[in-house]
Amino acid sequence: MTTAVATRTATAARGRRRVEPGRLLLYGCAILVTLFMLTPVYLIALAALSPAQAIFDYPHPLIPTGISLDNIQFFLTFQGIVPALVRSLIVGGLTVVLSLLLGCPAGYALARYWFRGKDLLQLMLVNVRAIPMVIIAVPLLVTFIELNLDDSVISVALVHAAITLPLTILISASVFVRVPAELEEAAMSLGAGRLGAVLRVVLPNSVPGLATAALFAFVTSWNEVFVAVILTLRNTTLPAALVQQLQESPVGFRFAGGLCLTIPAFVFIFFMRPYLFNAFGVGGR
Amino acid sequence: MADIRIEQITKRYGGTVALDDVSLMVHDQEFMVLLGPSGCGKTTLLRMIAGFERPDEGTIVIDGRDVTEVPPGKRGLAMVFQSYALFPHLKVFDNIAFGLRMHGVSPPDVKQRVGSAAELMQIARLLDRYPTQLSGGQRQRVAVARALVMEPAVILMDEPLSNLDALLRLQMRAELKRLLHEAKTTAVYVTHDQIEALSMGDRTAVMRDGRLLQVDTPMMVYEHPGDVFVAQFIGTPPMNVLRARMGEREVDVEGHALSIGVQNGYRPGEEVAVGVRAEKIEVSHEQGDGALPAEVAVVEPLGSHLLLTLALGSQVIKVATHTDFQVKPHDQVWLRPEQGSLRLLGRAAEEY
Amino acid sequence: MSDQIAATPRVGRRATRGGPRAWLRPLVPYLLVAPSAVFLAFFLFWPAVKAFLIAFQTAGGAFTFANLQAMVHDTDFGLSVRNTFVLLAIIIPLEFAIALAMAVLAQSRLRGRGFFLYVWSFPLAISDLAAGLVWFSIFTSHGYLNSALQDAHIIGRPIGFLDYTNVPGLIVAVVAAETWRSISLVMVVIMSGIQAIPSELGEAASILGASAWRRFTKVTLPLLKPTLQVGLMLRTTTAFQVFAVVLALTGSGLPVLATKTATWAHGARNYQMAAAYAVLLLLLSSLVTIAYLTLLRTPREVFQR
Repeated sequence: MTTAVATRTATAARGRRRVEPGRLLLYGCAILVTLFMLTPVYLIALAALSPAQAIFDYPHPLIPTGISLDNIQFFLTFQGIVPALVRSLIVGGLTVVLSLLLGCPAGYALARYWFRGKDLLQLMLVNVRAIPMVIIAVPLLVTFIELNLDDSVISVALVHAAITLPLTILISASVFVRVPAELEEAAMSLGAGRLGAVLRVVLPNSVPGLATAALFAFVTSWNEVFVAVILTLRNTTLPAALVQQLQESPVGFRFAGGLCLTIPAFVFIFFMRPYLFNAFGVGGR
Repeated sequence: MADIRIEQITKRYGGTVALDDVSLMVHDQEFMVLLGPSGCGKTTLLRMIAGFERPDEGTIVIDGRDVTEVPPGKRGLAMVFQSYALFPHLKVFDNIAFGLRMHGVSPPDVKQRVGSAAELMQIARLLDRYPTQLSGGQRQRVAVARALVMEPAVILMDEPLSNLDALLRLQMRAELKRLLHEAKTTAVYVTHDQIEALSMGDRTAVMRDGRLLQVDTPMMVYEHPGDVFVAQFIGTPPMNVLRARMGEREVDVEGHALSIGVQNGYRPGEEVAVGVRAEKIEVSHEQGDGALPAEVAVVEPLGSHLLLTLALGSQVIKVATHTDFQVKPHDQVWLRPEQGSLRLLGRAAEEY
Repeated sequence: MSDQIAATPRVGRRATRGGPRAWLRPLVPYLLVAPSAVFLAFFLFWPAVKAFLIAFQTAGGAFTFANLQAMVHDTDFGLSVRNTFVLLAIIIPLEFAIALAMAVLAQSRLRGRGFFLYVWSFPLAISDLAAGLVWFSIFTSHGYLNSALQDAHIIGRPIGFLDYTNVPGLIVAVVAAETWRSISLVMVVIMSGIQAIPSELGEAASILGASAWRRFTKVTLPLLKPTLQVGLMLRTTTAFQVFAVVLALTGSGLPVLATKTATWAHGARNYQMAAAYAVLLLLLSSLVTIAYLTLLRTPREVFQR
């Protein structure tokens, strides 16, 4: 396409050992964007890892003067933070389990069967993302209060599962579609029942894709703020705990919290890279 | 109107050599076909003429002008892609008009030229449709119209018929040939189908592994292939290639001598490869002078002729003969190649 | 069972096979989908409906506009609506322009492309709260931006970007943080759209005389319309709900619809007000989405297959 042609020509130019100004410009832009992406992370790392006293230095040096874990330590030992972290992990885990348990059968149905309402279902799954979290959080809080489930890890996990379910269904459907139905039929012709064929043939061949779905569900749950804030008071997840402390907390606390929330992202993205497009399910049609 | 001079083009991709010192001359208004199996470099060469690839070495000269550094839109070329590459978001009219508009042609002229191009390709009634509403054959015509409307000096075509079904392909073959002849445009046409190549081209350039093997008129390529590969690539069935031993004026095939005329460059006693076309061999139930004995293995009635597969000693040979010939498997028959039909294709050490 | 070659989904009805529980077979897909459907209905659709109910009812259950009226007279109502729209109007075009450029850059054959993509994608996994905190360290009055400006002697004393009274400053900060956080999402969406465009279209255009810019405007962009439509809808819906970034950077200095909802629900426990704000947010968000759908319509014929 446009730049593909421009740079194919440019790539060929490399064989003649000449650098086109066009390519320099492209590289320059790419580097600028990269700087824009990375600089804030560098800065918060700098801020979080500076000695506690350095907070009050002004102007801040842009190069580290000394590394200190003061802020991180303060953050982690602050009351309620570690339990909140643990709760985030639990909620994340529950979300993944629920999402997969509910989503995989539905995804399988989408992949293998035609049924009335299938198109409508797919349309709804894609569009359900349009329902703002903001509008469901308050009524759910009211419901949970009525059910005596408010301010609990379960309540948050249930809502997170609902938030991640559509995507899990869509991803698992696309994963199952890629496992040829003939494999199941071969298994059944050799004596396996329908369920056995699925368990023995389809699932083992779907692990990478399902792992991605699980990862996406976990990351979504880990990062989710609004619903967690609304639904919990004492049994907060990590983001909700941070929000509660936000206004009164010292600046160093916020920096450390920011850094701790950011670092896992690098790890997540590293594993998610191959499947990024799948997750957003968008094509040019 | 333009000729194309391709001089010593070399192109490497990483470790592989896609084109190896290829030189080719396409004459003005000539229909040149680049023919070869996949991976032979024909499409790479075409894209180089178009300007989508740059050669590592060598030059391309169109109509006396060195275009090696000139970008694709400025070489005076038009191209028909294998997948047609029609713009799905534009109506047929706008697709055909695209190039004209890019070159600033005035709207009345655009309308007139698009109209005549559409008439020429018999798609005038489709101008208001979108590409997705057209059949494969119709899309192909739009693609050709889009190229021809530019009145290019040179038209490039990358396997334009390969996505059509067999019947449509036959029709379009004839039509394309006529159109281009009337438009007096130089054409370079890429295909892997040797029948297409022979039927359409003024000359065919047979390529393999990045090299040109032979550039000749269809009849010459068919009758006088330069080596074993070309012999077996062209023609249905492929030319028979027999192992033989070189003599003074003859070759020894399975113990029988066949006269071949003086061949320079080959010493008596050498193992050589000899080619002969299936339809140039006479077959008979009676032993004649200098005939070779063979046993029939398979008889295929092909409607217009019989195709026999025979065992000639330890080798296999195919012979085409008229349908009246009474023969069945395991018959012993006698073969006699026509005078002057044997071709020396090289030393037998080459793989075939 | 295998009377149909199944690379395609099988019909749920098996006309040929009988046997035990044959009546069950056509129901299988529905049974598989049912748990998810029920779950989603309970946790997503029903609450959305319930929000309307809460917003339009009194404590006694009678239909009323009172809650909406109270919302309109709320102190920061106008402010929160205005701020939400201002943020939207700046962030969306900015993000899409930059993301388009990034997607085009990422498509070209630069060396190190894999590395670039990795770095450009990582904000996808960053929570909006983290993004807010990260940019807080930059914009706060003793933060890095002021430090850099003062070091370079551009200013004499720190600018109060995040001062309550400095609304433009607050907006700039939120825009920066939000753009940084979510531009990867938009980029990924656009990239998948670009990849669906066959490269030969660009080549055909170039051989017909189109320059790189014209190839972009006349071929790439029009074919990206459906993708852009989806991307815009996705992004706008989430942009309307901007919450944690605003909190982290501005506290309560820049009220927006989502923060108002949260304060009324969590702080004051006034669920009617909270629901009213939520309903308003949903309505406004839907209006903008419908606007996109109308403005970016492509004729069906272009894409039907």
